[in-house]
Amino acid sequence: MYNNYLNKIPEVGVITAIFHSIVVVEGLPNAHLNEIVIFENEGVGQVFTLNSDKIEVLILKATKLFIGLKLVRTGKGLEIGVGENLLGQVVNPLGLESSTKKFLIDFKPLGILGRKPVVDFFETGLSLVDLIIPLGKGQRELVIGDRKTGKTEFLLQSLMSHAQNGGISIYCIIGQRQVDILKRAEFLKKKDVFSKSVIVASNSNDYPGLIFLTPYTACTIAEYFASLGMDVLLILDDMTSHARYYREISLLSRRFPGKDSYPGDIFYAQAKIVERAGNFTKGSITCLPVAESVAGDLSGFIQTNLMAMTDGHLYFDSNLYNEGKRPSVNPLLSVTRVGHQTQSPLMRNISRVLSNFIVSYEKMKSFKHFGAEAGELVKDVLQIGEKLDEFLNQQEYKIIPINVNILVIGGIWANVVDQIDYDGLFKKYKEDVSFKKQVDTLISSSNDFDKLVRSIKEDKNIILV
Amino acid sequence: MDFLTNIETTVDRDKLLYEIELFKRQDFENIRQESLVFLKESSDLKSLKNELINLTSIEVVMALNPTPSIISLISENLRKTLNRQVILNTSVNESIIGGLIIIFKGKYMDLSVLSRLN
Repeated sequence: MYNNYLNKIPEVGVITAIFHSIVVVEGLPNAHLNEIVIFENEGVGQVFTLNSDKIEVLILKATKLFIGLKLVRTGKGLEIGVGENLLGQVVNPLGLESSTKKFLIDFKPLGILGRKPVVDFFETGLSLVDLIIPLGKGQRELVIGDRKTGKTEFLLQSLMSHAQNGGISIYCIIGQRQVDILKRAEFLKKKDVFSKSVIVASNSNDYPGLIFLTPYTACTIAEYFASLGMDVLLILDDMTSHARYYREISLLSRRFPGKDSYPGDIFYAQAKIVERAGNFTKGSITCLPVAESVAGDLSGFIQTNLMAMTDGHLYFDSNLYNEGKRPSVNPLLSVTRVGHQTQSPLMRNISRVLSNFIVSYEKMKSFKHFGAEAGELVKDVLQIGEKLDEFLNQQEYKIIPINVNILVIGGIWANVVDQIDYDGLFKKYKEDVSFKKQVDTLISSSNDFDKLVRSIKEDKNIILV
Repeated sequence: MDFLTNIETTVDRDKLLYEIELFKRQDFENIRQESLVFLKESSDLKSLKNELINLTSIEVVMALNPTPSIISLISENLRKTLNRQVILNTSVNESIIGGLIIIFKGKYMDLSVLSRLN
C-alpha cells in the first residue's frame, strides 16, 4: 500500500518527533488538511496541522513508530466502507475495509433544501418520554445526567423500540472499556435487534485520534442508511468523553487552550456531527447524543454547548434515581423543542394536561403529611398523582405502545376503577387483535382529552382486563 | 570556506561538527590534520557550526555502497542543478537493482532500474 501511494504521489515525509499520538513530519510539501497518510509499516494517520516547514499527523493505526520512519500521502480524506453488510456488526472508526462503496467521513451537512420539518413521532416506548417530553424523527435530543442514572438503559430501550418499528440504529461507543462494548453487543443480540443495528466502537486503548473520529464514522454510516430512505437512530455515547479526547489531542499539538483548557473550536467539532442529523427529503436521522454531568451541574461548558446545538434535552436526575424512580427523567427540567409538533391534537392535549398536573402535584406533595385534614381537591390530586407515579415508574426495557399509554392516562383521569391492571392491559393490547382495534378506534376518534375521558367513563370495560 | 566544499555527505558534516567540539575542548590529538588547520584559521566557530547544521541535505538511495568518486559526481551534479551546496545522506537498498532514488524536501524522484522494469 505504501509503495502504491508512493508511485502515485511522489512525495515522502519523515517523522522527526513523536508526542504520544501526534507525530511531527518533515517533507510532504503538498499535503492538505485531514488528508490520510500511510506509514512505511502500513500504519495510518491523518494530517492534523499544517505549518510552514512541517506538518503534524494524528495517528489512527500504527504498530511501531520511530524517528526517521517514512510516510506518503494518499491524496484523499478518510473514507469509510459502507454497505448493508454493516448491520449486525461491531466496527471500528475506520469502517468496513472490505466494502467497495466508500463514503467520505468529513461530509458537509445538508442545507435547508435537502431537509423537511420534523413531523413524524418517534416512539421510545417509555411512557414518561412519549407522553410528556415527546421526540420526533429527525430530532436531536441530548440525554444528560450523572453517572449511573439510567441513561444507557433508556438508550437501549429506544433502540429496541425503533428496531421493532422497522428502523435502523447506529450505536456509537466512544472510548469505553472493551468489556462494556461487548456487553452492549451481547445485549442487542439477546434482544434480537442486532440485525438492525450497527455498533461503531473505539475502546479506551485506542489512539486518541481514532477515538476522536468515532462519532464522525457513526454519522457517516447513519447518512448512508438514511440515503436509502430509512429512518435511522444515531446514539452517541458519550460526547463529554469525546470532548476530553479532543482536548488531549489539541493540547499535545500545542494549540492555544480556551475555556477549561478545551480548544477554541470544540463547539464546531461537535456541532459538525450533530448538524448532520435531521429529517431529510429521503430518510431521517434521529440523534441522541449523551452528556455526563457532574453532581447534577447542567451549566458545565461541554454540557451547555451540547444543549445549544440540540433540539432539547432529557435530564436524568440522580435524586429521582436514588428515590427509586425508573426512569429517572425529570420532566420539569427536560425540554423538547420540536417533539410536540409531531403529536396528534389529542396527544398534545394530554401532554399539556400532564405537564400542568405534574407541577401542581409537586406543590401538593408537601400537604401529604396532613392526611385526612387536607381538602378534597388536594386529596384528589394526590390520589391521581400516586396512580400516575405508579404507571410512569416503568420496568427496564419494557416497551409500551403509545396508544396503551393514552388509554391508561385516560383511565386514570376518568377514575372509574380503583386500580388499573397496567400489565394486563398491555398484554391484552399486544395479544388481542379486536381489543387493539377497539382501543385504536377510540383514540383516533377522540379529538381532545376531555372527550377521551368521557368515552372511557361511558364504557369503563375498555380499561378492565 | 573552500574547505566546506569538501563536505559532500552528512557523515563528513557530522565528523566536522564533532571535531569543532573537540577543538573547543582543546583535544587536538583526535582531530584530522586538514581539519585542525582549517579550524585554527576560522575566527567564528559558532557561525561555522550553524552553517554546517543549515547545509541542505538530500537523501540518496543506491543499490550499492557508493565510492568517493561516485559521491563527488552526484554531489557536483546536484550542486550545479540547485545552485547551492548540498550534502548527501546516502543509504543502500539492493532491491532497486541500480540507479538511484533522490528525496529532497519531501519530493521523491525514482530513477532506479526497478521502477523502469515495473
